[in-house]
Amino acid sequence: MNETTAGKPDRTLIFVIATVAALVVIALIVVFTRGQGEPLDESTPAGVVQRYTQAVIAGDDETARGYLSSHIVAECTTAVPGPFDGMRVTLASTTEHGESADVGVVVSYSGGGGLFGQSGYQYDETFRLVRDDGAWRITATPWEFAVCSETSL
Amino acid sequence: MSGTAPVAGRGAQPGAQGTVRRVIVFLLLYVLVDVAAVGVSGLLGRLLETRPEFLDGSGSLALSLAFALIGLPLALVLWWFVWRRLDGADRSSVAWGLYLAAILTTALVTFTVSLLGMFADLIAGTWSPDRLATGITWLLVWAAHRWMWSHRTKSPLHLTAVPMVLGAAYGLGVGVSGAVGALAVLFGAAIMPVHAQIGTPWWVIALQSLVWFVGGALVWWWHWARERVLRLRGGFADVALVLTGILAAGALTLFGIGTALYVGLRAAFDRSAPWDDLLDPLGPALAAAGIGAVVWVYHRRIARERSTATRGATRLVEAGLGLIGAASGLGVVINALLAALSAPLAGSDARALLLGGVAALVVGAPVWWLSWRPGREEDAGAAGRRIYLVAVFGVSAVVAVVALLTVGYRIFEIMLDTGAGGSLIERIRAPFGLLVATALVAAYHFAVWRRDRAALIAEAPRKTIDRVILIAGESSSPALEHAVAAATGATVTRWMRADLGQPAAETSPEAVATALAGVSAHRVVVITGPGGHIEVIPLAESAR
Repeated sequence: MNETTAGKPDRTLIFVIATVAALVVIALIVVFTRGQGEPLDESTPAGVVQRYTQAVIAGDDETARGYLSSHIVAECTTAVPGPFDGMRVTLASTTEHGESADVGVVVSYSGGGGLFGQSGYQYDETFRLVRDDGAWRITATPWEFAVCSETSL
Repeated sequence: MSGTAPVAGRGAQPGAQGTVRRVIVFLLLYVLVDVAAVGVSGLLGRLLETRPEFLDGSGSLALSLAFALIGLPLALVLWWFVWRRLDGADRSSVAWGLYLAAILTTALVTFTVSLLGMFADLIAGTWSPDRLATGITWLLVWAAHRWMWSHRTKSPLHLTAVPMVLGAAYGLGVGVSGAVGALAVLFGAAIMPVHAQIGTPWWVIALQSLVWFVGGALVWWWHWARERVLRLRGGFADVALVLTGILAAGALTLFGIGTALYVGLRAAFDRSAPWDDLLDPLGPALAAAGIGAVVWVYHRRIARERSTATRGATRLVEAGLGLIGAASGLGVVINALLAALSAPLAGSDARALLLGGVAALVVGAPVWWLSWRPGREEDAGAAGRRIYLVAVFGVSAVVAVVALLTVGYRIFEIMLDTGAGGSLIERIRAPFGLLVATALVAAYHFAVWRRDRAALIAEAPRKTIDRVILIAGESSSPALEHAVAAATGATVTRWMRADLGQPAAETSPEAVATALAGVSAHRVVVITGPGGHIEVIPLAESAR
């Protein structure tokens, strides 16, 4: 290992290298071994938003429309959602008001690579839902998730 | 081409008055030359434009006429007035050198951008007479000022190298960006699936980039080889060499290698994206890595033949680049680790993020290690190394504080329930990663700085004198001052004797240093005189 001119090992450098190596190894193990999270209950607003966003990102607009309110589907003007490259959606909050609900999400984008790792940014968005024939259905989505332009916030 | 002492001549004015006059005159000349060139190029553009439907209205013609018919005569008259006086203080003024540097650089950038843009347009089948007119006009402006710059009796005596060094750096930048653009398109056409290639044919874009490459390379060669920027040593020339040939080229190379590695890692370990998206950055990355490496290696070889300070600066700049890459990569790795701890509702998992961080770390860390060479302390006292350590520690500490503030803001935001719900980890993962990485960087560099400082203090000779008042003859006193400062570490005040007349026999600096050996006092007066006479008088404490 490195030694200073006095012959003592550079303990600070050894500590830094050990910390970096440990963090990289732990990150590799955690990221590559951790499976997908459990799907949320479909009867909850968050569960509906989860299935809707997964379908939109997968490009399955037909399945996504199944989670929209029936009057939106009846008047649907097709919209092109996206972009989704490097996007990640996490649940922030769920607020129910009787027959309606708001689901807050955090949308994160990362991309690039190269010398500076990846650049990224995140922001908050909200999905609005109503009870439609006993099930939660979406009436408004952030613009990047809109498969029908009528839902775009 | 180095600066010489100012020459007093006719027209010399006392101090500030002359300086202010020159600054105003050259500023006015710069503005008038610009105005005249814009006016003339506007008129020439109309002359070359053969398609009436593309001609602007009479408003722009009026503007061009005003600029050309008023600006050009005024510029010529003022130039003639200035040119006639350029044999005295004006020629040796900084303002003249600054004016030529500014107008030569402006003209070079304008005529090359216009002419190369016109050729690139021609390849795409578009005729741009306005660009040709601008290019021709500014080429003439450049040629006229290039003639003044090299005039035997009126060329500037200060800042002579600046326009040539800037021209070489500009040509290098244009050439490199053109070469990267051409190769990126070529590699992209070879790598990307055929169905993903839509729009303008790749060879048109490649040829357009090639025009910029050839133009930039010509500009660079003209300045670098023909104007002998290559042979300039020290000062601005070395600073430009390190900034363009080492810093910019190194960053381009590492960026390209890092991106290519990222694409490779994703192809091997994260196939969530379609091939089109995955391979899209590979062409530009390979082009940047290849061209950047050629430029970097060439300038490293040049820098090796320069001064010790330049060689040291090269090493430190490379170490800084590697450090930025490694630290950013580590921050992203921690970011990915935290992202993996919270399951997303939808979208990508943390693999792409992690692989981006690993690629940056893998590229940056070896460059830092090979450049910095941890444990190497031969140059512990070098000014460059001290500045580097303080700068890295300072910048990383500032970034760490900003990241800490962001983390704190997010924590309080959730604690105070401001409506920003969700996982705390999700909200702080990016700044927290940056915080850990910069804290490690700051800690290491602070430790190295402290160790260097302790070693310097231990090696420094014990200071027994605080201040020396050196009274000596005019010819020998600078050398004696350095000798006294080196031998004692004291602050030296030099007073010159007026009673020695003709230069007497020089007092040897070594003899003065020997005479001061063993003397211990707050203040000491040293008097040297004819015949090697040296008198050392320690002053009593009460003399303070």
